[in-house]
Amino acid sequence: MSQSLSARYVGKVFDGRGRVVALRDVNMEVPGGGFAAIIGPSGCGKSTLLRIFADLLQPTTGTVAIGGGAPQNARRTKSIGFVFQSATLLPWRTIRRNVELPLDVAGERGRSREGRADALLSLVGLDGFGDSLPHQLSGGMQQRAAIARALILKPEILLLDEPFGALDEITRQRMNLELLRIWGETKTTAVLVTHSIAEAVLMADRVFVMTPRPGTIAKAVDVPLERPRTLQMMRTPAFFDVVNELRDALFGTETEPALEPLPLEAVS
Amino acid sequence: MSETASWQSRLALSAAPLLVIAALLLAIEIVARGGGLPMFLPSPSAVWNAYAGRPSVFWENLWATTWKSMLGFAIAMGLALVAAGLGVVAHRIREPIYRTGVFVQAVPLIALTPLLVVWFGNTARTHVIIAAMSSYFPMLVAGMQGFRAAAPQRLELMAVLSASRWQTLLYVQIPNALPYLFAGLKIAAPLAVLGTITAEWTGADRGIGAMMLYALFSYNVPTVWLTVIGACGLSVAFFLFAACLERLAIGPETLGATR
Repeated sequence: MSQSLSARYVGKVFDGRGRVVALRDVNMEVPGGGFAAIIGPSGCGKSTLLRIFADLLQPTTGTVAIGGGAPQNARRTKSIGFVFQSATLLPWRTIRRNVELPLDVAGERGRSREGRADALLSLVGLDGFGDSLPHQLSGGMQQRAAIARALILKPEILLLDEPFGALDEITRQRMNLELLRIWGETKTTAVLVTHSIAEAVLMADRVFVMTPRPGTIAKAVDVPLERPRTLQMMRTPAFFDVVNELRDALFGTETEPALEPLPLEAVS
Repeated sequence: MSETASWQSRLALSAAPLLVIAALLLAIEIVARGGGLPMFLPSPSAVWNAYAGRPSVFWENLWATTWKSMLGFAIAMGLALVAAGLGVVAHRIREPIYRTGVFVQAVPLIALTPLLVVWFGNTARTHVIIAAMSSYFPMLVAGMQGFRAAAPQRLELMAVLSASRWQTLLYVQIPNALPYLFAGLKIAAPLAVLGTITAEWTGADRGIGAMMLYALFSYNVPTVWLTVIGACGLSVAFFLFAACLERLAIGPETLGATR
């Protein structure tokens, strides 16, 4: 069983030029082996929250726990896999050597690492690209390599920071399903940050809605769809019910148009 | 330069400047023979005679400058890289290291050289120190900028992997810095030659700078020109050496993609 993940009254204040309250009283719980999504507009602090889980940032108040322990321990024991918005591959390393980077850092040499990168490359559908350089691959393929790299140390927790944000819609949906398949095979606990409502509903068991200034969780919505998820589910009423519920939570139930219609003289 | 360019067109490309130089030399020679040039502009044949009279003198002096420059350059490179690396790993000493570099750079070498001569004697050691001092700063700046230029997300990646600072330096910051380092190298290499020659001017017994000085004092204009050409050639050779290293270290295929 993978480790659970929880946040208790987490707050984060950035003191720089001006004080920015990025997060306030964030509470969330992801059971071991679960798939959670955090959704919200740009600048609502969702990436900050993810970085606190990854021990890249320290919370100003409150606590975060991974498997009941401090995130620092999880990071030290290399049980966190992190996928960034851009693939962040090292351009001077081949794809295989990029995927093996965590092994290099962990000091794993010799027999134990043989074939591991290639097995993961085939898991993410990159058979035969091990010797290519990153810039020879498309954006989607680079992101697959980044996912393979995040998985090579068999992490307990997989944190995904808008991993498909830079991809086109078609590639994106295909990658969503790929990721679900990989997640099903690896049994990690996954947290996906996204600003696409449909993506969140398609992927997650539970979707947390964040609102900005200060970033806080406005609502948590369970997704009652079966697994394995399919693209066909995106046409079902159950899917739309959840999407609408999330949309209401994000925008409120305001009925007036988003913009006041312009007076005619201003248009001309 | 496209890869499909035939060897003929490449040859033509590199031959063109040589042809221009040859034509220029020929023109100067003709004008000089006709007595149309002031005495501080010797004819190319006079410079050639200055060389051909005793070639060993020229090569001996050139070699003295070469090895002193190389040694000084190597020392500067080593020191600068270690200093820049330390500055990145230990943030607190970054500023002192940088300021020391600025200080070394700010000291006018022409004023410092006599002092060093007094301290260490007019020996090769002094010249090597000056050569090192003149090429240290560009390498330091290149190293510091380069090591720090790593994209923040790459550093975050290393942090998630709980990499040590040295691992981050080794796996991300050094490879990332290579283009910067080689830019610095190309600036610093000719500067080492310049430093050595400046040092030799204070009266060395060997070196292209010393040869230049003695020729100046004896109004031997063709020999002065010969030393100038030798110094230029040496600087260019150092630059080309740095450029070759760059080509070897950074394959052209990875140069284009740094994201």
